[in-house]
Amino acid sequence: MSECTQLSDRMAAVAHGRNEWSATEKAHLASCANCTAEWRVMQAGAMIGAEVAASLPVDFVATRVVAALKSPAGSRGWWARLRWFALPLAAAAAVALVVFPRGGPASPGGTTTEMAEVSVLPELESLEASDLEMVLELLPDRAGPVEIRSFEELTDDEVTRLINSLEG
Amino acid sequence: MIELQPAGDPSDAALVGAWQAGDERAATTLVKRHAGALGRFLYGAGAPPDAVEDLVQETFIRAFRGLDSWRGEASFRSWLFRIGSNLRKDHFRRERGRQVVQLEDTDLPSTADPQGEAEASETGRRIEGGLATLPRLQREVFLLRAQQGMEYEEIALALGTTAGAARVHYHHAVKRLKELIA
Repeated sequence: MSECTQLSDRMAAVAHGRNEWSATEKAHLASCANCTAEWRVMQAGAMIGAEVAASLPVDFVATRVVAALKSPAGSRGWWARLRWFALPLAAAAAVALVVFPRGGPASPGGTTTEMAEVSVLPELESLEASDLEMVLELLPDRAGPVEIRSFEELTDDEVTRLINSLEG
Repeated sequence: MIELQPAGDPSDAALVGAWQAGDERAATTLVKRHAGALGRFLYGAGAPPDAVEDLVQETFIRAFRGLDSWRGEASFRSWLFRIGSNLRKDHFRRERGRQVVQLEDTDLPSTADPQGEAEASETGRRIEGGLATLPRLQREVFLLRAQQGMEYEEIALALGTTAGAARVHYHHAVKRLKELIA
């Protein structure tokens, strides 16, 4: 491991006061332009957001967090109240859009499995990305009513298109 | 990362247990202990200053509501950063098009070394501006390392990557940022 790499590995600890430079390291730092530049970047990075943190009303935030946690609905709003009702429906709808070509299941004589363009349900468009991720997490277990045997039957391409359609 | 905790203060894990047993003060203590660091991280990661407070609050609410998924592999703070990072991503998607990092002029305090202070301030501004141009993982790895002082193993746990990948992201970020202050 080069001296520069060793110094780089210790910079975070020194910048945050958990360690100190040795005499040898100080000498290297003074003579190596590359390490000096990294040290300047590290020191500047250590200060980012200090003013934001100082102005954060921590007591007020703590009060609001505890109040929200004590409230069953709290800041979750309509989505939290409906989540466990809406998610299985949204998941089923999303899978159906992927699995069935436009106009319904493929005709018996058809040889192509080309997927119809997936459009996003209006209900899904209003969800946040984290909520959509939850929809995806639920797909394997909650897609029962949909006419596929298992989520694992989807090809990689189909799964990718499903994810893309949900993420917009 | 070593979270300095005064001797005698309960650990995060102990406070989490107390909260789960119904002690509201434990939640308050956890928020007070980590809110500042979380706010700095979210700001550095690109959250507008006026959104930081709400993002911090929402991060804690989600964390407390999802405590069952915190298994202690990562520190409580690292886990908060992970939740906060995801929330910030959602916020950014909603606010797409807004400036990622807002650079604001601030009144510099008078110092004994005004030239040195001005140079440090200028370096800081360039670094903040440069951060906004980095890919998200590079930006967040750099912040967790430089701003939060984490080691690569903990960064990996916080961001769901490997220590080796975190090291690579850090060096890419530093290479780019060094060019800005050369």
